[in-house]
Amino acid sequence: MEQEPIIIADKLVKTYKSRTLSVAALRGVDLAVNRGEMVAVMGPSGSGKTTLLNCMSGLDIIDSGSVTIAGQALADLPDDALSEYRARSMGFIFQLYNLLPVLSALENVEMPLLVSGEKPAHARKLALDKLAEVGMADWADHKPSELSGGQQQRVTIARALVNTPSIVWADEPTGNLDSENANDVMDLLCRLNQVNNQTFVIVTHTQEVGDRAERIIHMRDGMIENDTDDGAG
Amino acid sequence: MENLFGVPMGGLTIGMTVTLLLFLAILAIFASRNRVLLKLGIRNIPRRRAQTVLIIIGLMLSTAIIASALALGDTVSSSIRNSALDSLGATDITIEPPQFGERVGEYLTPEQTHSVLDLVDDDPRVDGAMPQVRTELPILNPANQRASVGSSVVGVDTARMAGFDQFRTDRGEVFPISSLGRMDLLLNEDMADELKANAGDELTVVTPTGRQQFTVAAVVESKGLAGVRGNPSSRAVGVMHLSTLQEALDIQDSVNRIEISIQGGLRPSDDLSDQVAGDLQLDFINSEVADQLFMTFSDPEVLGLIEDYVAENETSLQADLRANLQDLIDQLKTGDAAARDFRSQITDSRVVATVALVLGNAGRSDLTLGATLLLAQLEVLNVSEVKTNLLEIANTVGSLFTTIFGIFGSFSIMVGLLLIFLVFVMLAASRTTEMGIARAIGTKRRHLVQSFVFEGAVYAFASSIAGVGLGLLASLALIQILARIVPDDVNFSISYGLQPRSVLLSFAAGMVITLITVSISAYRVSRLNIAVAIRGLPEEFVPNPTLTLKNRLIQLLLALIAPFYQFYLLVAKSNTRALYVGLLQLIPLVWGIVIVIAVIRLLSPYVRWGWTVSAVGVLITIFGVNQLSEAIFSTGASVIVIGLGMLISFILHKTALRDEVVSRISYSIMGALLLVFWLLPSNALDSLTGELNGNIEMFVLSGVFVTAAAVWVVMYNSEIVLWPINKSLGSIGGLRPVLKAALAYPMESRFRTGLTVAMFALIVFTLMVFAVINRAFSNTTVDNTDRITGGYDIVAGISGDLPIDDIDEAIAEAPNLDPGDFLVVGGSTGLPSEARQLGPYLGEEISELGFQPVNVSIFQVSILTTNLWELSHFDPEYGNTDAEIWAALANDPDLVVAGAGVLPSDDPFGGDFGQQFTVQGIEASDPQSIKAFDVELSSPFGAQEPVTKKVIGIADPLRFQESSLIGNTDLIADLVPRDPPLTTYRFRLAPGVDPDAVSAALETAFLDNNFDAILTADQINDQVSANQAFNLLFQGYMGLGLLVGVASLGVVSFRAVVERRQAIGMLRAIGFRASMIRTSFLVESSIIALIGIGLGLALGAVVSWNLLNDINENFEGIRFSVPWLTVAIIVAVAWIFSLVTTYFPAMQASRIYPAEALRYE
Ligand SMILES: Nc1ncnc2c1ncn2[C@@H]1O[C@H](COP(=O)(O)OP(=O)(O)OP(=O)(O)O)[C@@H](O)[C@H]1O
Ligand SMILES: [Mg+2]
Repeated sequence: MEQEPIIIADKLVKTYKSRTLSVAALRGVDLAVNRGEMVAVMGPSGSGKTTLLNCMSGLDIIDSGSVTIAGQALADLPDDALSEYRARSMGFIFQLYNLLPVLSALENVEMPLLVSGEKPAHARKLALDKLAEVGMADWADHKPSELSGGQQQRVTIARALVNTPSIVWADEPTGNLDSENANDVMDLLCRLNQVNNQTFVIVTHTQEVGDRAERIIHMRDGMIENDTDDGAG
Repeated sequence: MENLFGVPMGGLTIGMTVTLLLFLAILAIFASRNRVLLKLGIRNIPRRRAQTVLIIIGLMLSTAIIASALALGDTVSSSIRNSALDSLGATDITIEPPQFGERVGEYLTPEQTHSVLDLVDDDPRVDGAMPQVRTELPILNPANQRASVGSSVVGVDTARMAGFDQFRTDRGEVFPISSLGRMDLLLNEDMADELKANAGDELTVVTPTGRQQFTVAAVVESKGLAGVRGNPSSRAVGVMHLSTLQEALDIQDSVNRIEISIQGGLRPSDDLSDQVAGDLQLDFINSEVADQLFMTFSDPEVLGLIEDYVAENETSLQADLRANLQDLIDQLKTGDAAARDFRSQITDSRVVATVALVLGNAGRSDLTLGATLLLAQLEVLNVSEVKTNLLEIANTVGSLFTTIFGIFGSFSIMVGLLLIFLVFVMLAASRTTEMGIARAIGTKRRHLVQSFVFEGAVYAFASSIAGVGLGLLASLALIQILARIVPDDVNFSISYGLQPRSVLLSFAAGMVITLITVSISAYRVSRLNIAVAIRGLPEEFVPNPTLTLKNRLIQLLLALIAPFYQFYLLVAKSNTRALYVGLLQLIPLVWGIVIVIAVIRLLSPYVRWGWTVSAVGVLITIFGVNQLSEAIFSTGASVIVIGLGMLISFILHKTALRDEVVSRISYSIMGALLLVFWLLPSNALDSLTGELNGNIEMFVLSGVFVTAAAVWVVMYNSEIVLWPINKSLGSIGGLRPVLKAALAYPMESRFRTGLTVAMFALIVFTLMVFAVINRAFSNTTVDNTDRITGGYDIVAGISGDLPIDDIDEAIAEAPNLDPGDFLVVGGSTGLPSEARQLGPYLGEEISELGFQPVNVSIFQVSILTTNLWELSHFDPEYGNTDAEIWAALANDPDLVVAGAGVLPSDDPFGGDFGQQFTVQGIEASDPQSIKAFDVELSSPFGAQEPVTKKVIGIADPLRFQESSLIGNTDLIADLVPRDPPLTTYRFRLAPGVDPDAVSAALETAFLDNNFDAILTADQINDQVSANQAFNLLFQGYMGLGLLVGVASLGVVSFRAVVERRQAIGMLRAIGFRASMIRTSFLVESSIIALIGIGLGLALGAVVSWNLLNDINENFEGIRFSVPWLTVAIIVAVAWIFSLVTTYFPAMQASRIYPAEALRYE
């Protein structure tokens, strides 16, 4: 399948410097992800997966190299434009802290729509639809603290997908879930990937999750060790 | 300033300092017992500089408010004191003829003068005595046509300067008094300034015997003998030879005062002054009268009554009064009328008042009357301690200022204490991890508290110092405003004065209350539910686990023997800590608190039900009704309501309702009931409770309760309050997500939001009440100028020594005046006298009080028949309108109208002005129609019998505040040897006539009468602008309180940035722009501030509306109106300050980089 890449990372270098020591989290990463691709990033803890995700999505600054998304170099984009791009075209599922504790599930999900200027009534409808899609319609008015870990993760997914983003970044989306729940969530992600032709970059520790992706990237010590294009196909 | 809230300042300072030292000693003991905790606490301080600074700012504001209130009081009293000391100079005591009208028979005979001088010249305690004549005469400067009217002229005996300060020229040189020529005049600086005259100039003095030329010998400092003595209209004084002035006044060798200087410099001791004055007074009492009094009192029946009274009131009488009364009894039994001891007792006003009371109580009002009449004639000469009295006034006014500012400042102080609490909650929240670890490795909760208190003590120390500094700075600024309130022509000017004692007191008081709050906060904070707090959920505190009944009983038992139990521990378990705790608990107060806590613990499960609380409330309420105390009654009622709320919550908790809903219902009901109760008009419940006495403390209480209640209601119903904001602002597309985030957080952390809202509300509440009332009074003045001026355009004072015989004729003859310009011209004068009411009134007996001081005002018929002054009450039998009642006075010298001061006041801000003549049976709030009643008016000369007058009306309190009796010019014809001269004239001008021009022409025409004219319109304007300046002063002062609210917003916001790092990162990830984060912080704090401001404004409006209605019962015509400009300024200033404070944390938040935020725990 020959396609133009939507995400291009070129010689990414990221070093964390604290007062006493510096950690090279990314040491020259080159990566291209095509539109509609589902990529799994795997590797041992501390190998730089989260850092790579943050840098490619523009949540973090890189020391050198470049990231281009949909033909636009991130370095050239001012902060506001980048924020707006995230609101319209990206969805995020984080390793920790996904939801605003003070808002209900529904309010959390409709937030990205409101940010991109959707009409409130329409936003509400879309958000409810998305919640229904992840099986959380009955929990719409509950606060995150009243939901289980798996339920919270589904709400997060609903929020990440509610604005039909072209790229979804997910950091351990199934990390806190038992295998059954994890499977459900992955089913959901795969279905959406196929139906909407959205691009997914998923960081994971679990082989089962990796197996369901089209392509697995293995990281070690801040570098790509191995890039297989033959995952689930 | 010597007293504060009735407590001597010296004692207060010592008490506070000792309390502080005690606190520090206890801290030191604990610290030495547990160095690690001390280190732990102290080490936290330098860790975060910015945070430490913020904490110190937060903690210093209460101290600053105390310091500035004290500095204001000090300044006012020292300003008055300094001007008093300046103008009196060496004079400590004055001897004058008895006061019955300044213009009537007011000279000492040469014999009296001699006997005074003989006495004092032999007295080693006396430095000097100066016989003199002081009067008011106009002085002209022919060179520039300037005139000084209403100013004083004093004739001094230049041979008797010993003991008095010499005159000093404005260049500081001593003026050699021997060089003062017969027709020479010394001008004090004020007079020289008024006349623009210098040494060597020729001036004309207008005297009753004609105009005379004088030469200015020198211009001297306005001090000492050249200083003013109680002349309200001018500080200008001219000094000449006594004999010259005596000749000019044609009074031979008479003087009208002798000033006495006693040893001890400018400020001799109060005791010496008392002694000398007392001794002098004894020498000038009428022996015949003393004999008669002795006979009256030594009558066995009277003596028995006094003895019984002293015996019955053994304990309640003040020790010195009891001793004096006992002395009087002894004298009456064994002494005689000539004995000094007897005389000294009957010249003691408290002894005399007590005896009068005893006689009155026994129903022997005939005796009281006789004795009062005799007492009035007892003193031949009036000896007064002018300096001591003036200094006392200085202290009283100073304390009054501090008290007023203290009362309003107490709101800010309370808010400041809330802030300290908030700061500690935030501090604890930021230490959650450490506290968790500390607990995990076995630190006791008590130890956490201690290390917090140690840390807090350091903050308290630093902030108390900083607070005193800030308070003094603020008071410097406020005094600039204060100086504008004081009119220029008053006898003193404001200059900054601060006693070191006040600095110490504000530091000690500030640090003590800060330490107490810090300790309470540390205790509370150590039970913070950390996990919950960090997530910003509603329930920030965990309740204490409840012990079993058995354990609670055991605890109570141990508390009852607390110190001994500790010593038992020490001996049996060799627990050394017990020694210190035991010693501490031996302090009765500490022991008591331990017991109280144990009792509360024992009862706590029942308390949670609420009905016990309500029961206690009922008891307090009943107690309040019994004590006739509105404050206690209202507190009790509120406690009932709170108990009710707890009961509702207790019951609802048993149902299936969610906790959230339960608290919402119970808190809303409780808050709403409290609001309704406290916002009811103050007399709404009178039919239930009878009339209760409330004073200024009610205002403080109502402020606290209404804001607390309103904040409860709002915080538990926030969606409803925020709905309109959401609807309106939310429709702006870009703001929608921002609002969502901004509104959700504050409503979740109800505790800190509520606290901050309450701070704003309380301060704005005070500002609003003050502004509304101030405006109401200003408005009343402006709206009702006729009620105040009587419809006259010009009012003028003239000298009693230079009366105008017939003003109409004089106007007709004056070349520069046109009689056609005047519609009405009329004169009046006032004299001090004494009166008593004759009962019964409307069939009710009245209690006999004897004669009490009252002002008599007599008006010419032309004024009585044309004035537009109003009456608050009158007897319709004498007329149907105010005008008809006034006119009735014109025709009948036996009818009078009484000034509103004769009615007992229930105005919440009204003061009690000593023992003035008051009327029984009528109250200010009674309906307009009353029944006329008789009063007896006495002549202190005693030569004439008292006369009976009929009071047919009570005058408008807006104009006639004092206790007075008003009638026509014949009113006192039978009481005084000759008609008193008229000293005030009023003029109503024809339409179109320029009052300025006429007033100038009048002053010229009546220069020889020392005619001093004022436009009534100017008087009104002065009053209004003084009102406004006072409002400004107050707002400036309360601004300090506003600072507290703003600081708390800052603290909350800084904390929020830290707590919400991850949330902010996540919001950024889903597309929030940096500016949206910033806006959301600003919107959040704006909403908190604006809700608080809005609540304060609304509650303040209602409460002041009630207050005005109360006042309106006394002052008809006061109306409520919203001071929109002030409201706008309050809102703008409070809001802008809030925005500025939150701007920095908001910026910080917006700079958080998403990935950075999302990483940390
Ligand atoms: N803010 C930071 N400051 C310093 N070092 C950091 C920071 N963030 C990450 N690191 C370091 O960078 C390296 C890569 O971290 P990263 O979070 O990308 O790993 P990861 O592969 O996502 O691990 P995990 O599977 O445990 O989530 C680690 O060694 C980590 O210690
Ligand atoms: Mg990771």
